[in-house]
Formats: sequence, structure tokens, C-alpha cells
Amino acid sequence: MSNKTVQFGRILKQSFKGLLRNKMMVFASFLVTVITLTVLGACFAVARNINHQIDLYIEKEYSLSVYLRASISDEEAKGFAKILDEDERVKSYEYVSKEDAYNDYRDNYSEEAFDYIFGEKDKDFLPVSFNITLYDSDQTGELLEKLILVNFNDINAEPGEDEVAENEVIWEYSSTEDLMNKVIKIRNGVNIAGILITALLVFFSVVIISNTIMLSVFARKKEIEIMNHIGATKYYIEGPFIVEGCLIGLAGAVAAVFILKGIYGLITGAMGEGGVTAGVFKLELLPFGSFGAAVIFGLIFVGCVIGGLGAMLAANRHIKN
Amino acid sequence: MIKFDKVVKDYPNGTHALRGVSFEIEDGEFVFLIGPSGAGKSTVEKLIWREEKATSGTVFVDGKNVNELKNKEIPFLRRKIGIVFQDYRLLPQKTVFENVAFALEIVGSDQKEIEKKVPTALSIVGLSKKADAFPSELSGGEQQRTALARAIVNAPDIIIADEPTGNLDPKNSIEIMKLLRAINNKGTTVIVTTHDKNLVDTMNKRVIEINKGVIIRDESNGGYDNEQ
Repeated sequence: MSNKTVQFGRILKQSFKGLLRNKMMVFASFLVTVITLTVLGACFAVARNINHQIDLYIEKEYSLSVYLRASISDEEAKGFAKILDEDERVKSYEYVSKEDAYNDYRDNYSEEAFDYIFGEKDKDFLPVSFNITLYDSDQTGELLEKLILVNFNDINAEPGEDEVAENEVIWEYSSTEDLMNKVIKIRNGVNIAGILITALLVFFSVVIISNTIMLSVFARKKEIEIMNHIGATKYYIEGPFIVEGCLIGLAGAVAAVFILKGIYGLITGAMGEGGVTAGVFKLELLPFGSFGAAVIFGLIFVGCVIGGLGAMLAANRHIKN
Repeated sequence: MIKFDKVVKDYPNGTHALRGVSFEIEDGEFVFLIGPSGAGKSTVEKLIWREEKATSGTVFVDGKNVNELKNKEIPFLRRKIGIVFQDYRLLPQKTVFENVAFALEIVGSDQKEIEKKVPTALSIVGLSKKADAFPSELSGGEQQRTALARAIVNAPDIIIADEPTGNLDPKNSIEIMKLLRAINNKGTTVIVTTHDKNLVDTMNKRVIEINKGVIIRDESNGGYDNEQ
């Protein structure tokens, strides 16, 4: 064995001894690190999922969804479709019939929720809708201004009870642009909150690990003094403490990964396959595996940095050359 | 060789520990550093092993200006110097053997080297039979001999003994001095700070006397008191 290997072995042995020396403080440091890294990992998972959600909408390329009044039948909706056909801004649209909407609800809600929403009502209770894709999504506003003025007369539809021929046929609309903006705002909010909370927790972790290592340094004060006089290098004296800190961080990271994977599994399990759909809004979580490696390596890296940094602070402060 | 050239050392608290001290110690010399408490003896020692830095003037050890050493070079300076303290500074949880081996471990010696060098050092100080004893089971003299074994096990060029007999009775004090002389006879430079008049007078070696931060006497084959 080379001298370096022998030295490294001795440093490693000392760090394990150090971990066993202050079990309570080591455990406290470990816990704080686990919490910090779990929150960090959770923020990462949420951000990744929101991005994924945004991507899903971009993929669909809908710019605008309009819902007609429920009194308008599938047959009468053809008049509205004709207006879309004739508008040159419209690239394509997807027609969602009362039947489609009904099936969508039935497929995506539990029986209880479905019964609660529909009760005795049948599919006619639901509106027909159009998911419209424009050539240029910047023209969404213009198109909407035109569509919103379309009334029962324009499409030769029979107004329902309490309705007159001059009433607009659009009951509700949502543009993905609005939705996207909201989602992006939420994501940015989550990111900022995540960064702030994580920064605070990282600070706490570093402080508590630093205190733990300080106790370890104090316990070996005499030994350190002797080592200094005999000519031990900084690497040999401080190495065990840095490794000790890194080991706490590493253990915290491993625990955090397991906790995250467990919680994430529970959530995705509860949501069932294919995610949850609410109207046009579909929530679907990414499988853990799709970003698991990034979480594992990221948390291990951050854990080691937190531990190493805390230990270095303690060593620099309390070990004199 | 150790060389102090107009060395001044002021501490941040305002103490003027050394006020322009110059002397040279040749390789293989045996030197007593004497003077009352607070005279500056410890400061001289700390400047040699670079625990402190001179405020002005230069300190050379083995041809190198130790003031200019980088932090990472300091351990290698200290490996050339074996230090013995009045309070022994042994690790209570380690045996005699382990305490001596400790000095080899930190410089990266492997187990084979340790098993060869530690018994040699212990036999020089006459503690071969106590290798497995813990410091608490030893007399003061034996503890100091353990510390001495630890100081010589790396074969340093210089031994600095800071009041090595301060806690020992006359018989043990003489034993330690005999050992230091034997080590010196093999070519190692030995510097001893002491208040023990009898030892200094008996050994009849070079004496550097410091008082209030200045050298007031530097005499070869001197005694504890200035006889001139």
C-alpha cells in the first residue's frame, strides 16, 4: 500500500470514530439535512412537473377553447363550425360533442364524483366545445372578439328557455395563452419559494453540521495540538472532519431520495394511470424514473457540499495551525 | 543550523517578547535556554517551529527563512523538529507504543515501518517493557521518556525540550538529561529550556540567557548563574 492509501485509510477511520462520538448531534445534523434535501428534491420535482404540463399544452397547440351554451345541440353547433371553417386565421379545430364531453367525465371521474355532478342529468346538460388552433396564436384575441359576438341567429339555432335570438352562443372560453401565463406564474412562484426555503434550510444544515463537527474537533483538541507539533499536514488533521461532514450529508441525501421516491410513488399511485382530468385541464405526473437520476445525483452532490462546507467552517474556525 | 538575526516579536496584546535577538546554533550543539518566566524563552521556541512569526528580523532553520514558509510547508519544518513538553502531552487513550506510533502515522508510515521504528525508539529511552502500558499507569519520568521516544522516532534534526524536567524529581530529571545528551551525541541538535540550576551546572553546556526579551548572556560551557 502506498503512503497516500495508508493515510487515507487512517483519515476514514477517524471520521467514522467521529460519527460515533457525538451520536445525538450527528443524528440531529442528519435529520436537518434530510429535511433540507427532501424539500429541495420536492421543489425540483414540482418544477419538473409544471414544465412537463406546460409542454403538454404546447404540444396540443390549442390557442383557444370555446364552450357553447348547453341549449345548443350537436346539430346546431355545425353552424358555428362553419364560421370557423370560413375564418382564414383558423388552422384547425377539434370538435368535442356532448357525447365526447360526457364520456370524458365518465372516464376521468370516480363514480361518486360523476353521480354528484350529473345526478339525473344526461349528456345534454353538457355544452359542445371547440378546441381551436390558429396559424398565429397572436391572433387569438382578434378571433375571440369576433366569435364572442356570434348569436343564435347567426348559426340558425333555436334559443333555449330564458334565451333570445340575440344572445351570444359562447357560454365560456379559455385561451391556452392565459392558462400558460398562469401556469408559468405558478411555476416561477414555486421556483422562487423553493429557492428561498431551500436556501434557509441549507443555511440551517450548514450551521448545525458545523456545530456537530465543532464538538468533534473539541473532543480531539489535545490530539490535534500534538499532531500540529509533530508535523501533521492540514489534510491529515482536517480530513477526518471534512469526511465526517460529507458522510452526514451523504446519508441525508440517500434518506431524502428514498423519502421523495416513496411520497412521489404514493401521489402518483393515488392519481392512477393517465393522471387526473378536470375539464380541458389534465394533470399528469411524470414517472419518478424520468428525473430520478438528476434528483439522486443532485441531492448527493448538494448533501456532500452542505456537509463538507459545515465541516470546513468548523475546522477553519477551531483548528489552529 | 538555527540562526536568529535581530529578531523582534511583539504580541497583539502589546507584550514585547523579544527585542532584537541574534544568535546561532550549529548542527549538533546542545544548548540551554534559560531565564525567568516571561523572559521570552517560549517565544524563541515557537519562532523556531513557526507557531509564531517574527515581527521583524529573520529566523533561519536549516537554511530556510521560516518566516517566509507557506502554511502547507510548516508541517515539513516540524517533522525536522522533535518537541518535548513539560506536561508530556501524551494521549491517555493510547498505549505507550501507540503514542509513539502516532508520530509515524501522521507522516504516513506504514505498519511495517511502525513496527520497526517504535521498538527502537522505546529501547533508546528504556521503555521496551512498558510498550503496552497506558500513560496513567506510568510514573512522570516514564511519561516524559515516552514523549521523548515520540520526539525522536522520526529521527529529527533538532530536539526542543520545553522545561522537560519541570514536573520530575531530581533522579528522573537526570535520567532525561542523560537521554538528551545521548541523543545529542548521535548528532541531533538539542535545545532545552529550563529553570533547573543543578542540571545546567552539571551538564556544562552552552547557555543562552534571556531576560526581558534580550540575550544577556551566551556562554559555551556555562553554568546557570553568571559567574563572571
